[in-house]
Amino acid sequence: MWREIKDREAGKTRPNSFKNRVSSSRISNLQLSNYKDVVSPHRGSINSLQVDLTEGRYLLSGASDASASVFDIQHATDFEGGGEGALIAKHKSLITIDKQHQNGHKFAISSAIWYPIDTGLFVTGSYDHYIKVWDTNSTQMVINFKMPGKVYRTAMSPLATSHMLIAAGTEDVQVRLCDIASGAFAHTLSGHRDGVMTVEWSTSSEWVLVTGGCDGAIRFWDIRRAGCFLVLDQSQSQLGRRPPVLARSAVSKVSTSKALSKGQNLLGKPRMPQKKSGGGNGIKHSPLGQVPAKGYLKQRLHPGMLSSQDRATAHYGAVTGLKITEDGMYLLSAGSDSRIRLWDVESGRNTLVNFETARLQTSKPIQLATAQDSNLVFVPCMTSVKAFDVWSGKTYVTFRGHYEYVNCCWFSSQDQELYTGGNDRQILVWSPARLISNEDASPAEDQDNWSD
Amino acid sequence: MSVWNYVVTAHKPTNVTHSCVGNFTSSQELNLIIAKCTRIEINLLTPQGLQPMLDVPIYGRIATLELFRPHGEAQDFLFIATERYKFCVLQWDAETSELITRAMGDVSDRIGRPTDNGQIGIIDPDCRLIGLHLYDGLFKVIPFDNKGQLKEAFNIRLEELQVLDIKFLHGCSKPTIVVLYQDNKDARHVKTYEVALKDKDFIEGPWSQNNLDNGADLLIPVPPPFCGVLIIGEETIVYCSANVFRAIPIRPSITKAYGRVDADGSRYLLGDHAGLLHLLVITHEKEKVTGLKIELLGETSIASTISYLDNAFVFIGSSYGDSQLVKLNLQPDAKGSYVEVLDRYVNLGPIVDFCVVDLERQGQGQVVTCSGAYKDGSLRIVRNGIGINEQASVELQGIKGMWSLRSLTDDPFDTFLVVSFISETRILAMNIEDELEETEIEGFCSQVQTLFCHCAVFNQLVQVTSSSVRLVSSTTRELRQEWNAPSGYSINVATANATQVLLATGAGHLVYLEIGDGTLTQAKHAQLECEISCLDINPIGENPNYSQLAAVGMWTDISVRIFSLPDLNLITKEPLGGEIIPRSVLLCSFEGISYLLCALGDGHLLNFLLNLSTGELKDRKKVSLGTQPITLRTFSSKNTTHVFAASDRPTVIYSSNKKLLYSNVNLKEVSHMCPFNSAAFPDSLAIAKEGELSIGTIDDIQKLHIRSIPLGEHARRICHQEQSRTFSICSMKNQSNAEESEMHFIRLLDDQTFEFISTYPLDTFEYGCSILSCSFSDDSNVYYCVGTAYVLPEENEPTKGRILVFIVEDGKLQLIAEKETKGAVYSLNAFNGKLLAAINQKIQLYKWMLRDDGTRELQSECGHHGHILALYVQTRGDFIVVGDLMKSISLLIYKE
Repeated sequence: MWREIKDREAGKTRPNSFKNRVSSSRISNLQLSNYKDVVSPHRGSINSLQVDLTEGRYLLSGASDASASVFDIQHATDFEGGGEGALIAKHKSLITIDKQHQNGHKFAISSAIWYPIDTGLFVTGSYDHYIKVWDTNSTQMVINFKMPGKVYRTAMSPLATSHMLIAAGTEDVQVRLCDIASGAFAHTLSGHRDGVMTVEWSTSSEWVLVTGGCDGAIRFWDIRRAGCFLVLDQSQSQLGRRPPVLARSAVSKVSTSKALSKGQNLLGKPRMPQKKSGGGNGIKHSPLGQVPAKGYLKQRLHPGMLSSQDRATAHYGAVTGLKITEDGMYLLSAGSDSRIRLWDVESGRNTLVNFETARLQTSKPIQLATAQDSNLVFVPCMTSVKAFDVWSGKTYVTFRGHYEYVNCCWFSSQDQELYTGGNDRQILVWSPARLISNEDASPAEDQDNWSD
Repeated sequence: MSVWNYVVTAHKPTNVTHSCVGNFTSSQELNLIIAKCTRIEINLLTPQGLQPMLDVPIYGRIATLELFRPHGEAQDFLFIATERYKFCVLQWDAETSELITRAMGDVSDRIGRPTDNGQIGIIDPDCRLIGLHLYDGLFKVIPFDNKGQLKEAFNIRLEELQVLDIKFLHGCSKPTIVVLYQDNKDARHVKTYEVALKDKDFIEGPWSQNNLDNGADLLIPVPPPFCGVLIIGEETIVYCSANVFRAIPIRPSITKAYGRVDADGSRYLLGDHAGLLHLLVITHEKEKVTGLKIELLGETSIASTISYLDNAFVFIGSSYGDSQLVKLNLQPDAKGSYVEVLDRYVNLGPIVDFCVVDLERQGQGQVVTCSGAYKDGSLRIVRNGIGINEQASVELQGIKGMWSLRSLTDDPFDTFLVVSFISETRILAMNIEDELEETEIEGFCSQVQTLFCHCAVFNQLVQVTSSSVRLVSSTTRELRQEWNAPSGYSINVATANATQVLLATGAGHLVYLEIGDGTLTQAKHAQLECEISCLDINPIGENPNYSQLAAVGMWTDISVRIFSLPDLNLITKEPLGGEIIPRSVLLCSFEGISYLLCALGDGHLLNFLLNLSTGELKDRKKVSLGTQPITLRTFSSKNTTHVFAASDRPTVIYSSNKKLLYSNVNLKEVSHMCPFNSAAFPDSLAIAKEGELSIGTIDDIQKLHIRSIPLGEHARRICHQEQSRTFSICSMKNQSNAEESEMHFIRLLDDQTFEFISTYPLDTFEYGCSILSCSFSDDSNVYYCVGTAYVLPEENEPTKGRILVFIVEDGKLQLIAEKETKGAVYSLNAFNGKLLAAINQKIQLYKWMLRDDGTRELQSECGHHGHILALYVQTRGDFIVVGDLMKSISLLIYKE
């Protein structure tokens, strides 16, 4: 570390890469925290964990005993003397909403998320068919939405500036968007053929929603338009995305014939919400594109899509978890087929990275997390959490600490800490190893002449 | 009134990050354009050297600087992109000599991970598009239309995530980039892509090359006729094109910069991390590349950019040392080097540490910085003030006054220097060998002290002594007229300009003489009520030879008075207050505003705004320049007038933006000064100091004065110890032969000579991290405390370090105590007579204990955990501010 600081001081490494290096070296040292402990008040399995996106300070958890809690993970509520004079910071819940609360949920909370703009609101979704929006300061319910079935997952767009929609995946085949501003359903998105286990907003466009259903499909929706615009197909791989040099002559011919379709493309302009990633998407050159009929296809594709495409699946069995990388270019999905897949969002292709998962939970949605530079993905694998290298799929670290199945994890990129929750009702903190040095002076002296 | 602090940049950035050469200001002129962090400098290449034309600030750090010439343009345009994702295209407007912004815009994306290896900006050689690599996985294209205007930018997805370099290939019918990248197995490859502007996508390019040198880091596109690309690695250099592959091994080195020599791309200059300059030659048969040759040329500063100018002149821009202008000779010199350094451009960066000291004990702080890196490491002494660069000096005791004289009224240069002593006057002149030689002016009286001398009209000279005023012909050097003081009176003070003489004899008599052709006429006489202490009739009106006003400083009533000339009527009387008499008055004008400056005997200076027509004085301001009497003199440098205030702290007074500014001069005590603009020493000043007369030129006004002390090693931490008058530094020396072998030292330097006087070598793998000069309670000695870390290659985080306590005895560092720590000592602070150390994640306080055997040791008293890495610590009273690697800053308080 001293060498890196030296290089940064001398201007040899850029501040940006210094920061990345420090955080990745901290991430590589993650272990069960020896100085931080979240005291779980829950009496049921933890289903959802999220640290607020504004301050990175408050951890929200949702559990099967119909309770949701908020913890301050920056400032401990009290300390406990550990071995060798080291202190363990205890983080007790600041507020808890449970069945005793007058508006509390009746059944398990499956999802608890922060309002992305500030910590004044949070949203819980429960198996009692309700989504409730809470005021954090007064711990009172502000709005509730009655859903047609058990709520599996709720999500709010971290980017949104023009809407305040909660996307909800439920037992029902339809994905509903609940508008906090009006207190009513704004949209119903139909397409899935079974319940929707997981929903995720795009990190590059506030209009794009990704949903994964029990039917094994991952659908991309542009909420400004009807229908989904992309269904991921596990058999469509990234290979041959760009025509090789030999095929160039053929391509140039195609591109002339495409002058026509270009115009239509402009008219329709519908397809790629990731406009930043350029209009030059790979689909054009793909076998799927079926070039001659393309313009026609595009018109038809959008609302209903071709039935063959519409039936494409991303996983065999249910899609249980989704996570879009921070740069919005890749999507990670977990399925009940015990596979993790990495998708190129722009082209919609399966990158065929083979993640070394052993088994994943099949019956419940699981919550994945990525490290901030998107090189690692944290996946709950039965009783452990595994960190995989995103690009190679190799297991980087296995975190063993829970006694029962792990349901959810959340990575705080501010502190490089991983929070995991499982059926054993524990919330575990995994933090970069901290040296517990102990000076030769007597530890008694070592302690309390100081105040923070 | 509340006190506000404000921040100003005392010195512009000096670190040269980019440079390029082209015809920017005109199609005939060759320009060198240099980017220094947030500034660009446009220089013109002239036979005399580099001539600065324009220095422009840019809002943001410059990430890309490229010259290009769109079709149909006669001169080059400049493309600049900043690290904040803004870009602009600049054009030179020859009429106004200013820059015109042709295009500008923002190329940021809302999301996307900024590249680790820095931003890349490139321009297609055929000017079809600008390519930018700003975020991992994205290649931004700004296309040109047919008229050379920029069109809307778009992104193309780049599959390679770890891009090391991207360049455009020359001679391709479609714009083609070559990408050097690293895969996730850390192997490096190059790949080419054609940019299909219509489809806004890439098409696989004509060739690719896998598994290159693991240190390959730099691509050099080769222009036609060869085309292709050179891939510079750490151990090999490869030439690669669609059908040719040539490789040569090189001595292991990291190439940092390259510069193309020939337009046909057959020769390149490569600068490596050790500052060695190599010439790479592409050998060819007709247009076919047959091989590569590399030759060592010599050593320069560690280059960050190399620009080949013309005729074997090369600009080496450096981030770690001074930038250089070098000439490549055909024949090696005695050391076998082909490189001859012609000019150096000061670079202060990177400043890793500094201390503020008052070395000359003038009450003026100076900054001593640890600048530069690796072999170009140096200490720089930066002081705010003006430097006099001494050109010549003579030992002369007891100078009482000095004046320079011209031999003809119209002569642009001064010939004589009149030096007055207590009982004689000597005249020095430049002889043919440009040496100062004593000479004689027959008409001058040389047996007495001269009170004043001046050139007068009609090729005459005026000398005022205590008994008479002598008018002497400067051509024949004979006395033409003499005015004698009335008997019983002697002249006390006198002043003159080209046509007037004003003098004061005892008892308040003020005499005004006018100079004619061979005549001195007493035009007016006045008697004042008290004695006159100083006089001035410096012409500041429209007539440069005649003054309408006279300023007179008075004893007894301590006032300054303005009289009109020639009738000697009192216009204004300004009491100065206090008991200190005025010792020097001066009428002067800066930037069209007239001032009266009045210097007092205690080193204070008053200035007034002077109304030339009415003689009114207003806006009185008082500043303290020193503690001794001040003598004021005007001089001009670069055609502007400045005032030199000679005293124990000599100061130059000048005006900027119609405000008077005071700048210290790097001289100690100056008793007299006069401008001496001779042919051999143009624009020089003659300065009388204690026992010495020296002639020197003056630096540019308002420039920081920087002195360099090259160390040849990388100084990392510095501190000064007042008591022992020493500096101590932690430094690092790279062994040139072995890779990664560094030696670390604690060095003691004399604070006057800056010579190493003592060295304490640290253990292998031990780094000096922090240094402090402090004393402890119950101990009168002052110590140097050094914090170190053992940086072992296998350890991610240092787990062992030391605190060493040294005392300076007989100019040697003596180790007094040593304390082992469990981590790197990132910071040391004196804290209430104790020592506060930041050791990895812990803040630890140590007491200085006396052991039974009389030796001393550090004993830990208490500590504070809870940081990630406490890198920076500052204390004040019982408060401690800790700057953490990850967790912002925190404030701690110490309680007994």
